[in-house]
Amino acid sequence: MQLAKKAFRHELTSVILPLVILFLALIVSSPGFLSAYNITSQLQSITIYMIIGLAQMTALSLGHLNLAIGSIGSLTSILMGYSMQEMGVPVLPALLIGLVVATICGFFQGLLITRSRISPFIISLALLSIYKGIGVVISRGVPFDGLPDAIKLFNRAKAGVVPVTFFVALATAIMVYIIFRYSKTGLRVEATGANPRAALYSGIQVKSTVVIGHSLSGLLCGIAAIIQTARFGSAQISVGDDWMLTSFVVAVLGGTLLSGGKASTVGAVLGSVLMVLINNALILWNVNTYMFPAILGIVLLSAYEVDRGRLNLIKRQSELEIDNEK
Amino acid sequence: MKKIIVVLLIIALAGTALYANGNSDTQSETTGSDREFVEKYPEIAYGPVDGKSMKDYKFGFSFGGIADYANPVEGMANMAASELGIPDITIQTPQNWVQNEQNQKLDGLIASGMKGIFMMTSEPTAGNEQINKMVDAGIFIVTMGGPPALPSKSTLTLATDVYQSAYDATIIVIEAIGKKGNVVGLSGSLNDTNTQKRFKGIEDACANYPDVTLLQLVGDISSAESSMTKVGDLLAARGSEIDGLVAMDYYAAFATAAYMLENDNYDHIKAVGIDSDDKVIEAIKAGKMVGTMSQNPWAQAYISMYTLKMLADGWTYKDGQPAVVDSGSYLIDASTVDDYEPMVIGETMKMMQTWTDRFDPPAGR
Repeated sequence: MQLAKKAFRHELTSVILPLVILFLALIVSSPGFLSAYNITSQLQSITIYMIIGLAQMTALSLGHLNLAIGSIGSLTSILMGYSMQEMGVPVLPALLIGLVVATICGFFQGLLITRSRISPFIISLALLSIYKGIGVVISRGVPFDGLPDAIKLFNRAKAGVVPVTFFVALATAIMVYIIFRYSKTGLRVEATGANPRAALYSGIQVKSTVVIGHSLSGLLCGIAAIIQTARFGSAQISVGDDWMLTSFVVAVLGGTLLSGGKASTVGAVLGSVLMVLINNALILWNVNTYMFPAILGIVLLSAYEVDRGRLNLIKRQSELEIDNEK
Repeated sequence: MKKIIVVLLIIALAGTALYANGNSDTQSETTGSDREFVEKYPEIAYGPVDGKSMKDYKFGFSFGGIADYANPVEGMANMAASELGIPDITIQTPQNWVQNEQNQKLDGLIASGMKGIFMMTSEPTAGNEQINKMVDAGIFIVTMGGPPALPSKSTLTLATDVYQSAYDATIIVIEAIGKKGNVVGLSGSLNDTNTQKRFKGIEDACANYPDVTLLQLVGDISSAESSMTKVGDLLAARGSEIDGLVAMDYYAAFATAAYMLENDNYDHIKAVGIDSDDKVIEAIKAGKMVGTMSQNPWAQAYISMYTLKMLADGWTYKDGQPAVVDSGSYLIDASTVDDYEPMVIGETMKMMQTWTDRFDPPAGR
């Protein structure tokens, strides 16, 4: 009982509990859930969700939003495709170009936020259109589908049932975890998100921290864009079209605060798994396709309620303990 | 208040679960085995062939996104399933035209035990990689509605020849305006390679008439909202200059019909749309639009189901047969507006008469 109470107090309970329940329910109810095909497919989806969730988590921990997350991915994909197909750039340098472009996109976002007096929300919203627009101008809406085979092979490569891209996502998550858990940069980002003024008085260079945070968010979008381009087998403007809402859901499900000051890398990773499992469950249970958005909304509200209940319980227990000590 | 929210959530979830259950029960009950077999095509086996069970004939359908175009699919696919003695179709279509979303639906269908899928990709190029993955996993794939980027591992595509359809529609408009005047063309998402084909069809048709000017091509009309804005802006700004309008996208045709019905200022414009949304049909009946190019989702669904059954039975698509089979495009105008559905279903049955000629039968038959 004591152990259960202790477990319930853990901040990741609100994502781990539904995850475990859903996982067990799927094993029992759907024989196809554990098929090799399904495991590989779900891991491919988790890969993208995880990285974009981490990208959004980084911006959220600054107390900002990254609405341009999908557009950065789109522009990155287009520029990689253009460099490989139209300019004949080899694969690895092209991927490097993609990562640099995505980081610059994030850097520019951070720079505008810190140098202008415009609201970060407006800047992000404007960049969403600008980055997408540049991508449309370059591609004219036509996908780059003559990419080298290495790109497609990267998507198809597997170790057993685990796609290689999933290992890339895991390595990325570990990198982000180390940044937020052990580096001064991570601590500065969270401190800036929690209270920029207090962070400034503590000697933190808030403006450069914001720029670094957004650059990291951009870099993560670039990694996701590479994997998404490989999955599509082509570079196209629609890469990232479904990222924005998903990235928020993954980060928030994982316990990242919308108000800033707190990043939960493990939470975002688990949030991505939960999101993918929910989608998989709805299909495997043959839920009417028209019901999906409503159900996802209910699940989000439920997760929020569970977390609120957990926090209330902790608060009541603490008060009780204080009363007992008195 | 909190308790009320929690109770409401529980009720909503329970309701959803019951609904979902009911849905799946209905689907599993209506297998073809207890239905009367209509022996229309005796060369195609009824029910499972030797060594196969009903599980080998579980087929799914996924359209690229939710659209009225796919409305006839379920009825026609289940009609074919009934005639073939196989389970009814299972449908999973993404809410939005987003390939990632559709990939999850398709992967879920396969995890649910589907052995064949007929589908339209959300995006022709990105969807092709998913098709490759499914075919490599041993799933039979037939595409419909619009072809994926070619070459593709899909066995075949049943689709409208979008270039020809746009070309024909433009000719009808040009004839209606007396072969003289200004024409505008509207089409859908710029991501869709079919948009370029449609624009080319409109351009080529206009180029045949020296007194016809192609005033403007407007693309990226890919949602109800954007269609109302773009078509509204176009008509407001250049309505008086436009003599003919070709709307080769579902939403563009819908918005055109809506504005033509609501506003008498555009009565001088001769417009031809695409597909058969109620609004478009209403505009044709009211004499506000010349007509619409009906595609044939009836044939695409019905013939796709037959094709999947044949592939599961061991038939193979002959070498040299086209990757894309034109399922036809028919003008619905004032003279045919009341009976176009029986007409296209009739055309479907005509196509089916010679369908098996395109395939090699299974060994030993």
